[in-house]
Amino acid sequence: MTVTTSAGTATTTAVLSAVLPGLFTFGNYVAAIRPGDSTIVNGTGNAITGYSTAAAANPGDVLSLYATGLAATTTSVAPGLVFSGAYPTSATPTVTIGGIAAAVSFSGLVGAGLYQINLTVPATLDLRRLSGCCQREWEQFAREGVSDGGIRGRNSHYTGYLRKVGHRRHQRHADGYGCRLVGYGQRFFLRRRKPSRDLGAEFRRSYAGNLGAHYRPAYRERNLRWKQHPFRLYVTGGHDNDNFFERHRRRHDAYFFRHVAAALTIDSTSVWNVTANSTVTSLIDKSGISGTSITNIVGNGYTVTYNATLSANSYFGGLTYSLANGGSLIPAGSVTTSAPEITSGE
Amino acid sequence: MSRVQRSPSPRVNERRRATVLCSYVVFLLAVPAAAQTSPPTIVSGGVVNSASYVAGVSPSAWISIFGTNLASSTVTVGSADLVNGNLPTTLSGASVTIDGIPAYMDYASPTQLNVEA
Repeated sequence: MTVTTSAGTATTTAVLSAVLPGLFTFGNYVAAIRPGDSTIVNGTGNAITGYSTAAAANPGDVLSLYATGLAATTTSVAPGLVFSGAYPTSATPTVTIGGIAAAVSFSGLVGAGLYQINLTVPATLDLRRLSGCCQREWEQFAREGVSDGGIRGRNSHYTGYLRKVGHRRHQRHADGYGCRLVGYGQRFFLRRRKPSRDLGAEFRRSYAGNLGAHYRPAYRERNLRWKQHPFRLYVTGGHDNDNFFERHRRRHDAYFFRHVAAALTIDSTSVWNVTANSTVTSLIDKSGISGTSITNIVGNGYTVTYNATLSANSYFGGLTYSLANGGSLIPAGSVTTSAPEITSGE
Repeated sequence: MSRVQRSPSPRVNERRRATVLCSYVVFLLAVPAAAQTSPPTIVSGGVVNSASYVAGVSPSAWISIFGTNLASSTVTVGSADLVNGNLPTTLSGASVTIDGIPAYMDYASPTQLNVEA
């Protein structure tokens, strides 16, 4: 390598590698953009003029990282060329966060020498930090609760169902305390005690709870059985998580968990009749999209808000959709700043 | 995402500060600044990946070169510097070749050059 100026030249040697990946950083932190809410995640949260910033990403966030040295692209691009567009790399890089592989949805050249990597932050990060005690509790819980033992203790994020099961010795109390978390593969079940009741009405108030706060069902929500309800459960970091499952087992039917948000899946044969303004985290309703309309959610003039930052919702493209019979489906920001609630999932 | 121009080590920082100080002296004595009079030097291990600061070169990767007298002034490439839609191969009086092939330049200062290999 030679540097030439009007005053002379300097020559040195350097090792040439086919691949020499490097992620661009802010200070000691990888620089990332969270496209869902156009936020720069810079590790500190320090302000950057003209942009919204955040200190940290959340499990499940879709992020864009920027790098150089990711080698060849499937379509060759001459070095130095200033271009617009994106050219995928021939090889998809492996990205790990906290030692856990992140799902990489895109890797490509987006500028001269500049590569972009789109990935989803693993939802399993935080439970890795939990104590061994908690890990054992979780695994034991999984074994007892289901036959297939399909729960993986390191998963901290579930879309599924909650189910009430009461310990026989505590049945009397169980009825008063609501739900018990049990594993069934990667699902939980939530069942109502009386199937004739409107589950949506039962749960609309606060089942998702405030994120980061303890959940304790209101009295009217404690008698739940038989009805399954789609649910997304997050158990993420925080000191209380060390005792989470311990409390669980002791109280049997009393649930105190953190970081809960609602997820909803509507299959091709179902219709969601919205009866109030509602918020969900992930909304799986691919069969209902028709252009910018949603055909199988009857909005009745209400607004449904979905979390646009979740990869599960990426197919919405962050757009607003109109609902049948009035109302709209609109994107919202991060799951950690809102208090989602479940509405009717029937 | 702008690339961050910075030195890879305190040692280079010291050199850089010293060089900047030196440049100011030269500048004050000879206004306007004339062409460089001291030949460039590249510090040992001063060819690194611009993002990771790992030593080495890779095709199409941004490379930072640290040294002294590498350019006559500090310039970040702008649209006016483009040549036929390409980044320039000469910036602030400096040019870089890798295995004899001109490298495209994004930033030049007396102590640092950013080039695309």
